[in-house]
Amino acid sequence: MLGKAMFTSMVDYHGKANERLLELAATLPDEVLDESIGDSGRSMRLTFRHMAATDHRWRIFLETHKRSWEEGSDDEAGSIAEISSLQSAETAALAAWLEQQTEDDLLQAVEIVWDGETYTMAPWHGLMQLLLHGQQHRAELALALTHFGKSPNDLDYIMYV
Amino acid sequence: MLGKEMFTTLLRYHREVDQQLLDLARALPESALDEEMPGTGRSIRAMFWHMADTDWSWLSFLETRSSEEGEFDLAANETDLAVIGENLDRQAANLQAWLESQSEVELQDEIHTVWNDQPVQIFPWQALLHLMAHGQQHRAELAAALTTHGKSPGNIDLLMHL
Repeated sequence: MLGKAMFTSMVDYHGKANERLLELAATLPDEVLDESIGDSGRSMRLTFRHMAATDHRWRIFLETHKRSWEEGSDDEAGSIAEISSLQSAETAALAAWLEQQTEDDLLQAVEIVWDGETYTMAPWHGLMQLLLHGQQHRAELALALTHFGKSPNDLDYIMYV
Repeated sequence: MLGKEMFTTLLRYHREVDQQLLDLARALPESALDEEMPGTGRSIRAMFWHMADTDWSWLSFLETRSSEEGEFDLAANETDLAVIGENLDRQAANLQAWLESQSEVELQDEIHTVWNDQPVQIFPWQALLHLMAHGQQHRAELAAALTTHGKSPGNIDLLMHL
């Protein structure tokens, strides 16, 4: 059951690394949290909110095999405490969903209609997309936090194993 | 065989996006390649070198199951981005070949080694996963720097490479 073990480990890392960054962000003033990160087009607060919303959308897809982009908005930012609570709940729900899946479930291709086009995708593709998406945005957030004197230091997966 | 299929896809993605970013970096002037990327302590050029070195180092560990490294064949003072890019691509090709030779059982063998004078137990799949996540983190930093210099890679999500 290598695939299931790997995803379980990665979801755990995803949750812990997100928590680490959110804890550091919670110590920053609002004006810093709302400053745009480089050319990313988002502030730290909106990037955290975007990550929680994206996790939610992908989890709904994994659970229902239907696209649900209308649920959860990237623009309803809220406080870091509120976003942190949302993110924790999403990670817990994702871990609970994963716990119920077999390796065959994760490999079983499903059809999804996306902007009028039908695509075939295995659940593990969606799960890996969610995890790599998180890794990409954590790197952006780590740079921004470092810029404001709140470096998370080493975020490598191997530190969380 | 979800584990093997997942790593095969991830390694292909890892290789393709690294090369996509290298293609964009080649269009930049030397001064932009050597400018430090804020918060990273490295320039764009140095980051690609670091990624090649890290891929090589972990591949060496996976092949030998020992933390005793040989000698990296890319000079520490190498500045030619074409040479660095070729090395990075070769490391990825070697990783793909190594993975092809592994069974799912072998990927779950426990390796006992010593790091920084401390005994460590690690599975090959954990090392491989670390390598993939490490690459993704630095690709995000490179994508941000390339965008600052007017060479945004656009969407580098895994979904675009399935």
